[in-house]
Parts: sequence; structure tokens; C-alpha cells
Amino acid sequence: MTGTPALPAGTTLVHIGPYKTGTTAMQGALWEARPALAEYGIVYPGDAAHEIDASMAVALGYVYAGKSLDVYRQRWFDLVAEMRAARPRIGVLSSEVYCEATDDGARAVLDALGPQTHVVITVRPIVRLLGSQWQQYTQNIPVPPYDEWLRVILGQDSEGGEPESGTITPSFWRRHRHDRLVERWVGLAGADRVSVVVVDDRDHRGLPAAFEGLLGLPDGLLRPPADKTNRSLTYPEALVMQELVGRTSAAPWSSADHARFVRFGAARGLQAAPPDPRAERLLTPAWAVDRALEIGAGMAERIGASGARVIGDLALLSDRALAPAEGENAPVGAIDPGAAAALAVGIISKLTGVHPRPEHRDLAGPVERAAWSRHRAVAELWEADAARDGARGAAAREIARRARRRIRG
Amino acid sequence: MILQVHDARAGMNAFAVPTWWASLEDERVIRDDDELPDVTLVELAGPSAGRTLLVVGAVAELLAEPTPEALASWAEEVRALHSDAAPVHLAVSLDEVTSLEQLLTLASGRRWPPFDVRAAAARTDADPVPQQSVTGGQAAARAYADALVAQVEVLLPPSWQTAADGAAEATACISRALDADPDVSAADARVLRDACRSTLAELEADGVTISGPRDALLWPVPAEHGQIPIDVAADAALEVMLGQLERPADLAPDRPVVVPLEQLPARALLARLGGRR
Repeated sequence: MTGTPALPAGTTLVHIGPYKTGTTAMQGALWEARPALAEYGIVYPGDAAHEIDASMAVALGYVYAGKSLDVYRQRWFDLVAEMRAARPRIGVLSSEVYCEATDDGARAVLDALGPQTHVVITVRPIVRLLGSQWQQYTQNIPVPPYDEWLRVILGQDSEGGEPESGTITPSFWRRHRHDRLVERWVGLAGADRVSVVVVDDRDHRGLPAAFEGLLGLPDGLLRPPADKTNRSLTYPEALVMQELVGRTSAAPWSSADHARFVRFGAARGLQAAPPDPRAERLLTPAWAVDRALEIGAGMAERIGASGARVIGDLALLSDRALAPAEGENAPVGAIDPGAAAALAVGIISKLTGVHPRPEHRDLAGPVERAAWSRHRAVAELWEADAARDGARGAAAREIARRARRRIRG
Repeated sequence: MILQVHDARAGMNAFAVPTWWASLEDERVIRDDDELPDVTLVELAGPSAGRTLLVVGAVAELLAEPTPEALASWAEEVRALHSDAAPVHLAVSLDEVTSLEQLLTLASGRRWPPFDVRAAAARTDADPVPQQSVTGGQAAARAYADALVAQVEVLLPPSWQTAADGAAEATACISRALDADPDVSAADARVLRDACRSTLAELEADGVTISGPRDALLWPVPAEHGQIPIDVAADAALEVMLGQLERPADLAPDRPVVVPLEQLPARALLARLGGRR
């Protein structure tokens, strides 16, 4: 991929994912290389590797519970302004959220970034996405067991034999009909303004090298950080998340508390702990592997015909050598104590991060409000004690001053 | 408004005997055996008024024998006391009720003892989260507790008590759930735990309120070859959040709130400038 011609000066590269195609790795690489990128005229704006809230606000028209749509929509336009103000050779935005953009959201992104926008889409074989995407769903929403989910996802064919979104996790095919994603953005931006990078999981330098080529950077400048917080869950870990999410996704639990303490708390707690080496990995049944490779071949054909520039080998989308571990998991009813503890630790850590600001967040859920009240009470007591100690000190100093006067006088 | 507290029965309201009520000498406590035999009334304000309070301990104290039939019998007893006019509130408390204040705290859906801000303020994020004790012979619970304390972080200075409470509640839940000295086979214990969970869900669907460490109402099961059953691990994680929810701090409603400008969202600032709070 090192032969990839660089985009022309004045381009804004917008990487739209989709999910599970190395986006976190690339965002981390771009973020960590910002000083070096600046030397080559590349700007990756923002205060974090992935400004997901801002991207959601503009592309999807909503943000996570407890956050303000208006604030984050403005944040996205501020990012664009920050990028423009630097007058870069190439500006870069990256968010997998863009792959699900509404028509208005996609148009808003392209209109704001202007005619010199170049859309980059990273694609991976569907067969490698099934397990990781199911695991991701188990952390977010109630989903059926893996085998059942596979039968629904891979069996939902339209009359033409193509996979379609159904009622269960409809976002899967909305995100991972990579062929339609490419066709859509070719339609929006033009074929000459869309590049497709085919990710080969066996070549860890392939994706950074493709970006280095597009951005005109020297080989090896982009180095995805080792990300231990985004590791795959073991099969028992996925099952315990499924259980927890199933219990907290509906009333009386609020969506704000679920998002903060389960999705971004418990799940992150599991991922932050080392996996139990004895725990079974998630296995994908052979029938599902066969079907996913067949779907991948169809996608490769349509992407190839879209007119978009392709970086990498589309044949990988149907290459059996890239298939994940095949088989069916034995029933599991228990989990390693360390992993079970990590689940609770993720929640506790999130609770201890609830800021004792003078008022709780407007959209905080009941659990967050309770934690806030505790932290706020402690902070106020500390403030009162400090004020009293200060007053005592002032009084003592005054008494000493008067005593000195009397002695002198 | 009136809170109804039935006399001790079948492991519920074990404290509620005539001598205990008499010892309180509190004018809010009313007894009228002609009108409502076997019930003591307590005058109080707030959302807990108008309910029928049943303070319960661990499930083993409630069931005559460890069988689904005994569980069904207990659930029927609860349902018999439940009505639209005075819906049942099952307040789980593993400590003996010793004061009216404690009883009213449980009736309000909160845990006893309440959050002690003075004690919490004596600690900061620099203090270690204490080691957790578990029932003897519970190797899996011991491993859980040790792993939890090793991993937990206190991210902000005033939140040490939150971390300590979370660690304690999760560990206590695991310790309660893992039976080191089972009365029934592992298979029967599993059936009973699942039946308990279903029964509680049905009671809640009927309008019964449950507060406190409700996992104590689930029959304990043995660890599985040193591992924690999946549902038990989820129970412990939930217990961390429930413990916070049911043990908040009471901030004075009229306390002065001075919000630094930099912490104030623009929308709230505009609302305040417009005279709205």
C-alpha cells in the first residue's frame, strides 16, 4: 500500500469507518502523532482521539442520554473551524459514526467541509465482524445468544438474496453493508472523492500505511497505540454483559445511568482487566462462516463496480483464510472471579468519577444523582471546614495582634 | 398518612412485637386492635405513607423449607397483604431493626445506616479501599473480593466512601449468593434461585415495591469449580448501583448554590439571566 498516491493539498480527509474496521486504532495513531503530523501540514483537530459526541450530533442528529445536542453540534463546527484556522495541507476528521449518517447529516458534513473533501471508508471481511459486533451489542442492548443472532442476521435475505436489516440489531447491516455504504458516499461525493481501504488483519501495518500514503507521510509515522481497553471479550464475559445489560436496559433503570455505568462502566471494567486465559473465545459456526464469505464476495463485486478508488485487495472480503475460529461454544454458566470483580469495578470506577459540582447534570440518571449528592455533601463539608479553619486562624491572629499592643502599650 | 406494619409473621417484621412498639414511646405509633388487629400504624409523611411495610431478611429465614412450594406459599402470604389501598413494600434488611428511625428509613426505600457525610469526609482518594471480609470457606468469594479491591480506583477526592461502599456491597452480595454449606443439591439450589428471581419479578409486576439488598431474597447457590455463576456476578454489579441509589446524601434544600461560571452550561446561564431557575 505504500504506493498510494497522496491526496492533493487543501483536501479534508474524512474517515467514516464503519465500526470495527480499525477506526479506534487509526484515531489513536492520528491523535498521538499530532505534533509530527503538524510538521507535514496535517491537522487532526479536537481534544480527544475520537470526538464521538460532536460527530453524533452533526451526523445522526442525537447524542447519548445526559448530553446536550446543541452543545455537541456546535462542538463539531468548532472542530472544523479549528482545522481551517490552521490552514493545513490536509485536514483529517475520523469517526465511525459518519457511516450511519442521516441524509441531512451526511449532507451537513460534506457541505461544511467543502468540495475538496475526500471520503475514506475502511472495510473488513464480514466474516470477521460478526463476533466482534455481537460482542459490542451485548455491551449496549439486549440481544439474543450468538447462534440465534447469527441465524437472524445472516438469514434476513431480501428476495434478491441480499442481507437486509431486520428488527434485531438493524444497525448491523446499516453499518456493514459496506458495498451500499460505498455506493451511497460515491453518490453523495462522487467516485473520485471516495477511497476504500481493505483492511487485512494479518498485516498490522497495512491500515496505517494506507493513511500514510493518502496523507503523504513517511512510512512508519502513524503507529496505532496498544489499546487494552478495546479488547474482545471472552465468551463468559460476553454472557455476563448480556445478563447485566438485559437487566438494566429498561425501567426502573434510566438510559442515562445504563449508558454511564453499564455500557461505559461495567463493560470497560471487563476490557481493562486481562482476560482469563482459560476462558473460551467466541466461536462462529461453520455454516455462518460459509454464508458470511458468500456475502463478502457479493460486496466485493459491488464495491469494485462503484468507481471508488480501492486500496488493498477486495478478494480478502471472501477469503476463508481470514475466517475466525470456527465451532460452537459449549454452554457456560460461570465466570472467573477476577472477571466478575472487574464488572463491578467498572461501575465503581465510574461512580467515583461523578464530579461534586454545585449542581448535578440536568440529565443525570437517579444513580448518578445519588452518587453526586454524596460527593457534593463531602465537598461542601470540606469547604465549610476550610472556611471555619480560615476564620479561626484570622481570629487567632487578631487576638495575638491585640495582645502584642497591650504588652507594648 | 399512615404506614401499616403487620406483626411479626413467617420471618417478616421479626421486630414487630408488642414489647418493641411499647419501648418506643412515640406518639406517632398507633395501635387499634379493634379496627386493625395484628397491625401497628405509624404516622408519617412522604411517599412511603399508605403502604404496608414488610421488613424481611435473607430468603432462608422466610421459607419453611428450601422448596419451590415453600417459596410459592411465602409469595401468597405477601400477596394476601397487598392491596391497591395499602400496597406492600418489601424492605430487605439484614440487620435487626432496633429503632423507629431505622424503621422509617427502611420504609422510605433507603438503607440503614444512612450515608454519614462526616465519616465520608474523613477520607480522601489517597486512602486505600479496605480489604473485604467474606464468609469462611468461600474460596471463589475470597478471590472475587481480592480482585475487586486490587482493581478499584477512587477517581475524585470526595468519592472514597462511594468506592468503599461499592466494594463492600458487591462483595457482600457475592458472599450471600455463594453457599459454602448448602442444604440442598447444586441443581436444586439453582432451580430455587431461579424460582426466587421469577417470584420477585412477579411480585413487582403486581405492584409490590422491593428495596434494600434484594439479592438476599434469592436462594444461594454453590460456586462452580471456583467460578462465579453468571447471574450472581450480574447481581453483584447491580448491587453496587442499588447501594448508591438507596443511600444518597441529604443536601439541604435551601443550601446556597454558587455555581462557578466556567461550570455553568450556556443554556442554564441564559435561563438564570432571564430570571428562571
